[in-house]
Amino acid sequence: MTMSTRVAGLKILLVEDQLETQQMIRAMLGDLGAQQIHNARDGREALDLLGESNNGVDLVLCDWNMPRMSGLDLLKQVRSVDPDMPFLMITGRADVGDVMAAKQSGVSAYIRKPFTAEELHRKLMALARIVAHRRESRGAV
Amino acid sequence: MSLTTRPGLAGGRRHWSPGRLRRLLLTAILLFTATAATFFGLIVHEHMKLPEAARDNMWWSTNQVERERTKLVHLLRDFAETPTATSRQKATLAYDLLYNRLQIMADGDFARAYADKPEIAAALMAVRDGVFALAPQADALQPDSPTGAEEMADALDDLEEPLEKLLGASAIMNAAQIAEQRAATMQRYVWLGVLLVGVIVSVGLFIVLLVHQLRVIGTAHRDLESVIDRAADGVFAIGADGTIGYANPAAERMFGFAASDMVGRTAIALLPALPVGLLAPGNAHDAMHEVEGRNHQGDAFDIELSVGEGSFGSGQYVVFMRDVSARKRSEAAVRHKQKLEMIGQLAGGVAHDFNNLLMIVDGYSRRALRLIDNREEASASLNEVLKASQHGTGLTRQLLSFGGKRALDLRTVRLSDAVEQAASLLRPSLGERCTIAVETDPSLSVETDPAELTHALLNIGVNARDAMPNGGEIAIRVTARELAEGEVASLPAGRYAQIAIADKGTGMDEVTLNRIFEPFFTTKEEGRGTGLGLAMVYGFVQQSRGAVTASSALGAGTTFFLHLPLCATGPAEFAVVADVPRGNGETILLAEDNPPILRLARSMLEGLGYNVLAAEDGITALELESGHEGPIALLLTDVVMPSVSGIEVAAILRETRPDMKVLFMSGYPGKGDAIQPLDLPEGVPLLRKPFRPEDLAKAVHDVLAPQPQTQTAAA
Repeated sequence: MTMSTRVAGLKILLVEDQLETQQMIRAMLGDLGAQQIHNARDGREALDLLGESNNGVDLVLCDWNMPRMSGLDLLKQVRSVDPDMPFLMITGRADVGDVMAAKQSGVSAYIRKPFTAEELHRKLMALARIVAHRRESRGAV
Repeated sequence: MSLTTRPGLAGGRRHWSPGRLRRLLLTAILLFTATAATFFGLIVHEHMKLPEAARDNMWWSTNQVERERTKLVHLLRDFAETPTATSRQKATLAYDLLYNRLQIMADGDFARAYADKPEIAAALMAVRDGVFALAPQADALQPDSPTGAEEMADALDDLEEPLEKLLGASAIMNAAQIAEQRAATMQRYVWLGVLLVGVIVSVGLFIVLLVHQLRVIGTAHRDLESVIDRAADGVFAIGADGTIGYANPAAERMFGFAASDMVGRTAIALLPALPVGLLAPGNAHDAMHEVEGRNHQGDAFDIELSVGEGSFGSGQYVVFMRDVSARKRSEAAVRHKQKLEMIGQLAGGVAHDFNNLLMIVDGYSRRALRLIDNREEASASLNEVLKASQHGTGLTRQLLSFGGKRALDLRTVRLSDAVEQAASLLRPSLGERCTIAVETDPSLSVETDPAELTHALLNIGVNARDAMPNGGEIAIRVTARELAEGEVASLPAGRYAQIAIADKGTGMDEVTLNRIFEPFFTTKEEGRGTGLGLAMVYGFVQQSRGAVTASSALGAGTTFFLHLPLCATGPAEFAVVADVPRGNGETILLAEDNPPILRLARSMLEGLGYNVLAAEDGITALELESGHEGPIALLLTDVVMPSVSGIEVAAILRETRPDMKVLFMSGYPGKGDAIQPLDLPEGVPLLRKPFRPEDLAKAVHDVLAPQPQTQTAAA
């Protein structure tokens, strides 16, 4: 399986409150071959979409700064249900303390704004490799 | 100095001044002396009164009567033989004397004294009557006729017997009287003695109490002086005329004068800004006043003082002073820092929102470029949009850096390397008239982001160059300094590296100097500076737990000081360690989620001659691997990492790089150990943490170039 097909096969939940940024990231994801992209405007909407069994979502791509429920709060909720869900945090805060808080809460990776499509691509590829590896491991078992 | 003792310091006793007590002691001694003198005077007086008493007694008077009677008999017989006016006069005068004495004796105290002794009283009356009965005859004596004289003499002779009887009785009475008087005198002596003993005991007790009180006061006085001598605050006692009467050691340190040089001077000479009227009766109070002091060099410094009024021996006012210069400098530094932090937060917030916009501009521009298939005109336009967007991104990065919001790639950096590198980068841009001189200490290392440090030094260096349009030398000097708390900005006490970058350029005035670290503040002409360079330096140094300061004066050049906390140890060095297997430029992918261990291992491996791709977690390791086009000889990974374990990373990478060797490292026990075994396959090499540099060198070397017997150990 090539890397691009791995990304193409991912069901991605994009959580971003700013419409313009959300549309642009969707466009980037589309360019990278992602075909199943679900949108949420904040953490609560994301939790509703994930439901009790993740609703088939392979990866969460989430902004840190959001109204109602922040990306960090969503991460904690997701981790309480699924410790292995790949969770990519988009952050404008590259502050060391914030990154450490995200790491301690179990973020899989983070990407700093502003990022390019290539940077996003590298992160998604890495996460896709992990998803694929885990799927294969589960299949082998 | 004479000071009033205060409750607490004098053990809560009544507070008397030593002067008053000395006066009391003197009074007591004088009183004692006067009492003793009076007592002895009375004794002497009594003693001297005794003969007079004896003269006044009955025996003496009776004896006198007998003498006068005998004398009168002789005079009468002389007159009878030779009757003249003179002899008559002598006889009549003697008779009158005898007559008067007997009259006194019969009518005065003697008669009362003998009242209880009738036979003596009768004898006295008989003598008196006998003499009184001769009065007509005495009056009748004629100068030229002896008639009656002989008769009178005979009559007086007849009185001899009662007189002798009276004399004998009075002699007995006189002895008793003297004995009585002596007894009475002795009684008085006894009473006076008792009184004197009482007075001596009282006065003695009083003196003992006074001496004790003086000792207590002396001790309290010494205690108080000791307290004042050891006080951190300066103390002046100032007289009503404003003259300093006392200065404690803290005041000596504060003003730089010996106490003897301050005593006698007016307080205004040392405290020129002392509020008018503060040293006036009724105006002193506990309120604190901030005034300016003047030390022995004439330099002004800030003092906080309060004034108390009273009697302080050498002064009427006591002034308590505290040097608050350091505190005020620190407060100003904190205010400045807070101001810059506030601006930093503001800048960071703006940069955050701006970043979002730029990302959209950037993202869509790149996408559009791909979609239009690089058609020339549209491409050119979009490239301009991209350039502007990238410039904006650079600005926001600097703003974030100023706000301390950028993640630093912290490593242990040898300052001599960083400074030399910055100097070598700077030299080509200096032109012919500017030179750069570097003085460093290779033993000094700090933990910082080397790229950001170089950037900061370049920023300051370029400013120095621009400040010297006519050329000059930029001097960079690196030294170690032991700083006290607050000595530089608001840094805690400790050992710091000081990087001083000095130019001899145009310098700055104080207003400019106070604003140089503010973002967007620039003195350069429009288009030549963004005003973010020094702001970025400020943010970076703050984030490195250091401080940047500057000193400057117009025409005298500027010096920037960067203070960074010194590391106890320098970057890992293997070149000097003998018998350590070294690498040959092989690439090692290093994954470790503990930042200090990541930095240490990276530093060790680079020192050993390996090329290192350092990843702070498993995902980053995968990213770095996919972005690296050349071979990767070894994956050196921590076993336990959040989100993606080292074992997962190794398994995923084996798919794309089957020849890559793997060396795990872990602080957890390996398989076969009793506690929490790791799920590692058998025979997989494991490096236990903590490890020494030689352990790492050997483990890496063994995996990369296995000996025949250990070949199976490599994955």
